[in-house]
Amino acid sequence: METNVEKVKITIDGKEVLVDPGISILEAARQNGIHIPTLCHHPALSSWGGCRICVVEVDGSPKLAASCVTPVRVGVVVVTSNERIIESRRTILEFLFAERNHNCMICAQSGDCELQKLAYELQVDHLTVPALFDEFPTDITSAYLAIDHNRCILCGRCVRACQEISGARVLNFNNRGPHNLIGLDLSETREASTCLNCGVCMQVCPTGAIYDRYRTHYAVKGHDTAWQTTESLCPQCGLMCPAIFSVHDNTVLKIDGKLEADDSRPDRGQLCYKGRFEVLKTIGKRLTRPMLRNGDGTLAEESWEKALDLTADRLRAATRAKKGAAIAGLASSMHSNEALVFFRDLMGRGLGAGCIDTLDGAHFRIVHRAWAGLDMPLKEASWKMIPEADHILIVGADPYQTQPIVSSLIRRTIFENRTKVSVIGQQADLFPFAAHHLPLKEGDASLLIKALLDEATDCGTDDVKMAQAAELVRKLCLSETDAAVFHDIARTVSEASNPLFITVAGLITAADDSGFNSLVHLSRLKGLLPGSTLRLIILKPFGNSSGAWKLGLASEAEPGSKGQATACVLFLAGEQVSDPDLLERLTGLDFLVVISPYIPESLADMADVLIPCPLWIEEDGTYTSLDGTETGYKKKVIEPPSGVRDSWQILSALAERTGFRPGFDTWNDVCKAAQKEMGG
Amino acid sequence: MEEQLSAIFARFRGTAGEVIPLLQKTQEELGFLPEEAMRRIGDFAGVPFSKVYGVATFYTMFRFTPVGKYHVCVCRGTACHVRGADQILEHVERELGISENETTGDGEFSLETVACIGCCALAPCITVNSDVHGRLTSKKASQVLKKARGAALKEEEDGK
Repeated sequence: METNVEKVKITIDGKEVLVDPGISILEAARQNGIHIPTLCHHPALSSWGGCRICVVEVDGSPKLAASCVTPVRVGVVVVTSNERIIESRRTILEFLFAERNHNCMICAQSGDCELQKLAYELQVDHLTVPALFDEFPTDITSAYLAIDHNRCILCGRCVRACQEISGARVLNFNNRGPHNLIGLDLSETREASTCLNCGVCMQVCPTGAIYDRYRTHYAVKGHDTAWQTTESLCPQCGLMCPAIFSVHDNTVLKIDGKLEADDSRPDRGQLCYKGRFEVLKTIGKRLTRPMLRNGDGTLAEESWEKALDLTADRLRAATRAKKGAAIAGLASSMHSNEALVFFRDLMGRGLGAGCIDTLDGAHFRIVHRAWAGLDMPLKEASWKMIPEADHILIVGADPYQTQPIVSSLIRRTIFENRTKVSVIGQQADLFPFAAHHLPLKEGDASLLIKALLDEATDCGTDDVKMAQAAELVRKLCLSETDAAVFHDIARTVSEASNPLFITVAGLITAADDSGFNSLVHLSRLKGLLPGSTLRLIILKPFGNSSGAWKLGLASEAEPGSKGQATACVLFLAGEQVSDPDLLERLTGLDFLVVISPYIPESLADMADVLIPCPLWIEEDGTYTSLDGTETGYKKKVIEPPSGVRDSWQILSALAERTGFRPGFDTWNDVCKAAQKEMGG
Repeated sequence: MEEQLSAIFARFRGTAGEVIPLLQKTQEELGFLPEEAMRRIGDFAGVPFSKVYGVATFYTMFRFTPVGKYHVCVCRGTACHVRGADQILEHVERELGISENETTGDGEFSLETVACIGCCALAPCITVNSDVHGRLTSKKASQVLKKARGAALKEEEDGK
């Protein structure tokens, strides 16, 4: 892109170059392919100038300058490498090695460590100063992250990342001089602190001081040069965060956020505890071969052909025996759009299923009913609008549990934009600097939102309505402090010019509609955002809920309204079924087939056929964003275990055996069909 | 503590720039900085706990354990160092049975070292609360502590 800003002419290592004014000498050098080593500097963080590894000679001055914090000047002459500079860098590195225990062979980070690489680069093969270090503590209280202060070089990257990227502000320097340590909150353990385990500190840590407790030690898996990296996205919650997967030997070693991500994402490319750690957790035994229920009631491994034949026969028989409502198809909203389109067509057009639904269908129905009551078709707001809002009201939702990056953005906006945040309901992430906290009792949600709606929209203008609102508030039996908080929230909502509401369908219980409706109504009254968009973000329970809902997978009618099904196909994507309502729905069927990556433990007594399918990480597919407006492509990162077939192969085999022609002959056809339906 | 903190906060506006004065006033009032007080200061000033704690631990003037009734500071400034501050410190430690930055079990004495108390002409010197005792020898130091202990005992007896 051409800019009108006049470039600055500078000389680096005898080479005259033109650079943008205001950038640092380090940036100027890197743009021109000149290497300057760094340690405390990270491209995604603010510059600090603490480590002095990046020192250069500026205009022949006897005092070396840290290039990461020295801006370019017109005509400046920079030397990035000479004997004096190298000697200075090497001395600093020696001091770092002498100050703490950097014993590379027994470090989890060996092979992927910036300190180690720098020592090789600057040829530090021995120390000219005595090693003075003491033993420092190690904190392994968290299930996700460990801190080993013995490996810490106090570069402060983690402190800056915690503040600038995650917004948690849990990390800071404690004490000073040789006693300086990175501390959490009031020097607490990782577990006792308010740390949110996003792991951004670990990603930016140049050494093995902060490492993850999930992965195999790199030392065992070879150096980073032997790994493959795949850039893809995380499909866990609908925010579609870009993620970089490091793979070796068909094993994911680590998942990193794309921290240098462009400005289109206000989250600055971070990942959360789910996307970085939890996705690597296995939640049961993998299913690698189909299993059939024997005459004696036990499940036994069987060949693919036999399992598919039996499934197709039983499903066809069920359709023949009872027209219409015989079959139910239930899919997890964690599947890609492609898998969902194929599943929907196979179940609906192919087998004439009476009910096709998703595991989060109840949420969909609440949203659907609320939307039907609106005066015009409206869109949901995008989570990317959070930094622009002047007031954020969170009702009943817990973004840290469902969409953790949303909670990170809220934390950051409280500090960076002084945005007022009001929280109604319990939260895992307490947002310590939120303007309001109001507890929400289970039965009170609808009444409370109704009262808020009345009070916030008619504040001081309509006496009758004010009296009505006051009556509602009285019914809530709030304590004196809570009532004051309630009135203050109502006043803030009524005064806000650019508010955003964040909620979940059904607030607390899935059956609770009217509170959700009142909130939709309240956000409608606060005016629309550009593009017929409601000021409302609905947090959804699964990674591709929006896609599944848009594709019509979730049924508008309550399941079972067309009669009880006798056979069911359950299409899981890596979850274990624990919802008692769902288990209830699945009992008493004549035939249950479960397609799942894991052995479904809770269904082991009920299922007649188990068919293995790949995990999300083992398949390609597109996903739809939380607000339903964007589509992202998720790449296959590793191969599925041997013997497991792709979802589309399983579904086409079933289609073939039941005599259904879906109209897709290849994987590409399915992709095109899904793309067309998503409006891409 | 709640009331004392409220009284302190009433004199401030609650901005991030007030953290150090807030910590100072709190310590003046409570004698040290309890964890809860630091949390309250963070909430009041809109500053994360980690930052409050980082600031508090950076400055040696802030304490996180209660001081004794008699707070002994042994000067280790240049002049005192030359005149044998190390021996004085060792002696006081032995006499009180505690190390640097500790408080005796009965809560009577606490011990701390400081860089210079500005009485170099009197080196080596210690302070007990705000009283300076100079030109010390081990013997004189014992007398100073004994006097303080005697005063403490007398107070106790008078109290009875």
